[in-house]
Amino acid sequence: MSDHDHDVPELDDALRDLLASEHARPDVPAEMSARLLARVHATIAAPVAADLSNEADASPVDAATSSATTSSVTTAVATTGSALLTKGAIGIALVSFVAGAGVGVIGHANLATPPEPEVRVVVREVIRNVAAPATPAPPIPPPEAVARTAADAGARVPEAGVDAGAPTEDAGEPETGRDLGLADENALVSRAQTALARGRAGEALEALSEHQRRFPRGQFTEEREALAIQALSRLGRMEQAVARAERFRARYPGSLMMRVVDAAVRTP
Amino acid sequence: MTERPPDDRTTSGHFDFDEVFKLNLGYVIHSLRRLGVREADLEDLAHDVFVIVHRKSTDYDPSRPIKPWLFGIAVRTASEHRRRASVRRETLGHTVESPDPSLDAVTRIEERQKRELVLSALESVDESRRPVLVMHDIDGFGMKEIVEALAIPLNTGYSRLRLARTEFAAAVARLRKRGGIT
Repeated sequence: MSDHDHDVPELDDALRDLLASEHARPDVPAEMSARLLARVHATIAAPVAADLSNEADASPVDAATSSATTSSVTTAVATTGSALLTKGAIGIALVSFVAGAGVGVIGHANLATPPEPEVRVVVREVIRNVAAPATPAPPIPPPEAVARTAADAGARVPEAGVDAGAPTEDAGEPETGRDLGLADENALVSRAQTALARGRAGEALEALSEHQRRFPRGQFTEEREALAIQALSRLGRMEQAVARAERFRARYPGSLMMRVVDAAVRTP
Repeated sequence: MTERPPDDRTTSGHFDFDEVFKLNLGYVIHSLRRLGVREADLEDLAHDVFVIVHRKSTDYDPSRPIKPWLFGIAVRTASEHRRRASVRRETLGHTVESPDPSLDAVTRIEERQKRELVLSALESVDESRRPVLVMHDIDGFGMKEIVEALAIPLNTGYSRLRLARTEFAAAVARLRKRGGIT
């Protein structure tokens, strides 16, 4: 059926010419193309930096049973403090005193003891995805040295089937904070994908949970969800996998990953 | 309708990211601009699009033309960008393009005015309908390719095109009247 059959009004000649002029745009300058390509490669090659500041608050959304990873270390330091009596607590104590010893015991028990303030020192470390290494993995850098270097870029796991142009010495670091965010997202999803390919579904779900916590509506949400469904299926958590697949279908009706999602939850 | 673009499938069926980037960066940049992304944000958004392209490359079906697939990613990236930041309306005048030296000054000015008119009028088209208009009436894709790239039903595609053309025509008329442009 043509446009006309769908009651689509024709464009007059003037409008058609106007839109045609927009079609014929010149190409971008070569310098811009080279600069952007280098920037993209830097982002793709960057390893993820662990954001451990909210580790204690992480929601357990489909969190996997823990498995060994090369990842994070958190150093927590707690300090104690003395309880402070609030005005309300003093009032309760006074009432308790007047009422007598027995009431006083109850009143004392009701005094709210504020939680001991806690100080956590968060160590931010660089996590690398390392493929079957031919050489020993480099030591994890000290906490104060969180630097993404070109050498780190060389440890990236290549994706099968894609000639992505392996990172070269020129694929430096992501240029800006915004690129780092996308690089982290990309690296987390890559880590999950690699873990899943190697039969480590639990590890994959850990990475995907971290992605969900840090980037709940990130650029790779669709991929995250598809991978999570596959990981849940492989772990035998079919009820969760099916539920998540239903949400995926509703949210991404035309997704190119629907095929793998359907296959993951299909009953044999 | 503009002429249908030539077949732009990846040449060998194998996804060479660098080749895809170099051949299609211009298309992605111009598509983002038509989708309302400010000039100042074009490089950032183009970077994001191609990082996503790299990630999704294993999902790409090489039997299909690549530009609609890239445009679909650009649409979602631009939409996400708008959602995250309150983006002020672009004040036209700044451009990443260099003027065509083969054109005389008068023609260059006319071409620039024409572009400003198109981009301003596109901004008046509803955000949900603009991608269909751009893909159909600027890029020249058929509705089947468009609805696949945008993951919408066929009737929705035609409905959006109908409304978008009406909005675009009204905007052009209004802008011409306001600016005295013929």
